[in-house]
Amino acid sequence: MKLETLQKKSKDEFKEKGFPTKKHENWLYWTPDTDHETLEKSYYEKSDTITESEVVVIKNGSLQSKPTIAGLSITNDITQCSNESLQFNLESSSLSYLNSACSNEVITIRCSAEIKEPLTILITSDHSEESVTVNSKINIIVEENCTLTTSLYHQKQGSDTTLTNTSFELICKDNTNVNVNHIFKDNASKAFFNAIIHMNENSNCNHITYVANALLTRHDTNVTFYKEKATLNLKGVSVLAGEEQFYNHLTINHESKNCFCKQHFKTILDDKAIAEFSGLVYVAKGSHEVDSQQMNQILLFSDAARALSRPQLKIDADDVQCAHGSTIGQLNPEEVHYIKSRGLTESEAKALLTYGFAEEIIEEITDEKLKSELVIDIKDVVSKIKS
Amino acid sequence: MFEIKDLKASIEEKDILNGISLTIKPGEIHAIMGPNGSGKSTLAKVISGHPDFEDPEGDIQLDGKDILDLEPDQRANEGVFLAFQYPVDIPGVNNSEFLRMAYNAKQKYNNKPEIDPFDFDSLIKEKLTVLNMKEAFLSRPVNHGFSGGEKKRNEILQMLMLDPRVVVLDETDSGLDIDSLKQVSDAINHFKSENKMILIITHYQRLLNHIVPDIVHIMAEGKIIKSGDKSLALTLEDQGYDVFKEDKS
Repeated sequence: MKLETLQKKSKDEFKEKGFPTKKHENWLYWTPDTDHETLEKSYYEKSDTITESEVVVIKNGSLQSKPTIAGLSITNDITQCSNESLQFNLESSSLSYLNSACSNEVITIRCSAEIKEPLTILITSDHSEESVTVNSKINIIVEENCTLTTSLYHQKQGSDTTLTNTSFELICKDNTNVNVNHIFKDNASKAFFNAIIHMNENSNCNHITYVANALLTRHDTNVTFYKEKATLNLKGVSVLAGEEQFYNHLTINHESKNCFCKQHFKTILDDKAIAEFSGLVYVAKGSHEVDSQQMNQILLFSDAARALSRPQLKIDADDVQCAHGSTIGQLNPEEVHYIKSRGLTESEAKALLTYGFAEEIIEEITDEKLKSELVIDIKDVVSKIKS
Repeated sequence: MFEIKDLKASIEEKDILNGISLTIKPGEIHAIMGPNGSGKSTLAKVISGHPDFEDPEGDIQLDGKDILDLEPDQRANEGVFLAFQYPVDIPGVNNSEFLRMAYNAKQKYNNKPEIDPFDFDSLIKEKLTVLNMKEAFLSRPVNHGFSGGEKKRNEILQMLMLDPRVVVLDETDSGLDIDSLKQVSDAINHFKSENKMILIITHYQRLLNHIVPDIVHIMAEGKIIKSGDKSLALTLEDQGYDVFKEDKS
């Protein structure tokens, strides 16, 4: 597909759908009403040359530098996208069409080997333009029998009025092992993230997100299981304080039988922060022996914080195991007392327990360098919780 | 000296402790026995500063210093240690890290420098040996996934590491098999010294076969109704609590 074709088709789709409004079930609690103009004003700065670096750098919507690794192809040539990606019918949010319409590069990473070292991808912007949106579009395709671990750092520098609208598409082909981590932190502006994940036969994927110190983050994740024996662990931790907001929407489509999907999200809320979780698991007719487990857990530190949790199941098949649940609560005073009785102060006790709450997810990150960074970061973040 | 004077505590307007007084001199081991609901565990909680009991009346003094108004962490750093009947899990924090934090909190409270990590490592390994525990225990999250016996041994490990002046053991023997009971008892006897004060709360004489108390108290309805030497525990096991309740009346 040519870039112009993609942009035109996406623009047409977006025109038909329009910006999300509160009439859309997935946009009940927050809509970008005041951001229409900014979202349509795209900022793109083409890199003069793609240089060699240790990590992949995507700056202002353009591939700026990349490493040379045997078995990995990293390009901004849209013709390198396979027919399996860029599937319009899977886009769950109209903002993802807007991303496709506005993106000037489709960055494709194709893995055709067993890559042992984690691949770091830095998605950033550093311009000083006011009230514009940086659109980044990234596709990762893991070929049959291949392995990849990658960590994507979603960063933003420059003006606080700049929005980011990022689309991420992951194709796990047959017999693949894939670990993907997304880190959204230190962002004083609004960030929109649209993820599409394709699971094929015997593919195994761990997909973890971490959100902290981010003003407003909206995630729309759409997963489809096409073939049997695929396993996906979709997990995340978010720590919100002040007036930060995180809207996390999942749609899991089980189109094939005998697949496993675990969704486990943990959120820590303080001050006037808001977190919304909406997770729909759909098991299509004939998709027997599906095991899909969903859990959303929220730790509240403030009476003024708000948590909205909507786990949903839609099952059209027999012989499936599906469960969903949600917990919202505070730290157990018995646990706080136990730690205090060992000489630690109240705030130290709360920080320890809060870290313990999140650790279950952090522990599953296979990129050891990232895990170490996040352990330090989350300990620092939770130690600042005031309530 | 550890002194409790006319201690009263209630919860939701229900009186639980109705004037407990006892004095433990350095080097002494006291045991408190009593039927269910007599207030034994409440006494342990009030000593530790549990938030459920906000305004207990009376005095608790350690070496003449009133600790009843102190926060639980301050009491701990003054040298009071409660081995919990039901130790809580702290997922995500390994035992060694937690103990180091607790150890250094006490050092800081007493205006002492933090312990050198290598010295801490040597110290904790020495204490593990006392309890016949494996080093792998240290890398596990605090009490998370532990068996009942492991949790109780972990409490004793914490006690050995933090080296408190006053120890309250709240039914430490419950959930322990015969071998674990002996190991835990040996560790407590190892810890015992002429400047330590130990208060054992138990239902069973069997623990007192391993750790011999100087004084045994019988508690009922939030009060100590009788005190005596170690033979009192044997009498109690033989005759039950009713005899003593009748004596009181």
